Amino acid sequence: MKKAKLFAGILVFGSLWGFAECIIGSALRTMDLPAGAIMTGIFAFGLMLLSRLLFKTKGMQLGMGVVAGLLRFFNPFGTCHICSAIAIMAEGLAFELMWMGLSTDSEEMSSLVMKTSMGVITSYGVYVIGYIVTQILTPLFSTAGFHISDLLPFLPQILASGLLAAVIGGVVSPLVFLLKEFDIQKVKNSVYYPVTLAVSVICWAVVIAI
Amino acid sequence: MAKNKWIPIIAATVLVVAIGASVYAYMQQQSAGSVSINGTTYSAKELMNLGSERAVEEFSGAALDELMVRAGVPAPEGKEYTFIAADGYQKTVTWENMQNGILTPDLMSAFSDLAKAFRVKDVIEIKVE
Repeated sequence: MKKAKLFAGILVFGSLWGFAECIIGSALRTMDLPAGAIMTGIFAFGLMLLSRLLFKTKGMQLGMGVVAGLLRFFNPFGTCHICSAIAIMAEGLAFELMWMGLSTDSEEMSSLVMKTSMGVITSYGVYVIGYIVTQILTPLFSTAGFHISDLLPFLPQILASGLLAAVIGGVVSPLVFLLKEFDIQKVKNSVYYPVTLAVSVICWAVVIAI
Repeated sequence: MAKNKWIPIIAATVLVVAIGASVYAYMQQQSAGSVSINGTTYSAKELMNLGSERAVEEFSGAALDELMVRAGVPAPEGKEYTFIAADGYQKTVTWENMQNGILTPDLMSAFSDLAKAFRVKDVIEIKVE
């Protein structure tokens, strides 16, 4: 795959993820819904898996995490932008680590059980890691400082709240795999680059302007 | 063992862990409505009368530094304060943070100099150390 096409893919998928975190995530929180689990299960995991299936390139999801994290960093609303940005990047890294030894084209990944299982494991892992990273970084970047004694008693709650993310991941994964046959290479450059660029620009403009 | 054998086992283990943690967290949940400070338990109404009103962003409530002084915390300046919620969530802050913080009537902490993560809902105890 051409590097330019891959970078455009990282930019557009990372921008969509960051856009979802900033705009949809905030809306879900306002409605008092479990935003973290929904965002991770549907958007973070869903977009990372889709990009892995379409581009078949390891490392791309970490790049997406960096782009989404940067977008979160520039979002004028919310507190501790640097913490949220790093937590999103950590989610990208967590995905990479969990899918390191797996090929989405392999015979092993063809069964529904495997697709669902990887959805459960990845979505749960990404959620729990992102949550813990946020709980460590936010106090660390504040005048209050980080206290491990604040985190440990709350770990059961973090592990418990990941259940919804795991279930959503288990449902989303087989659905995303339905799009596996779409060949991104066949999309004409004259369509691919303008569309990816336009979508990315819109995501960034909306997040920064709102 | 092949991946198609152990990956479903790990997924099942993840679900068991998450469900087990949910049951444990539910059992650990304590009822909110009063706050223990320095060994004494106060109702929300008592706490609102104890400290003068202060505003933090869209919230208003009792000034935390005054609450500590009136609750009889000795030498409050050098202490750390841990806000513990009914669900086990907790955050530790300094005296400087307390001077910029409030406890709202529905027992949530809020600080003008700290992130939203320090908004502990359903506070049941403020531990002084």
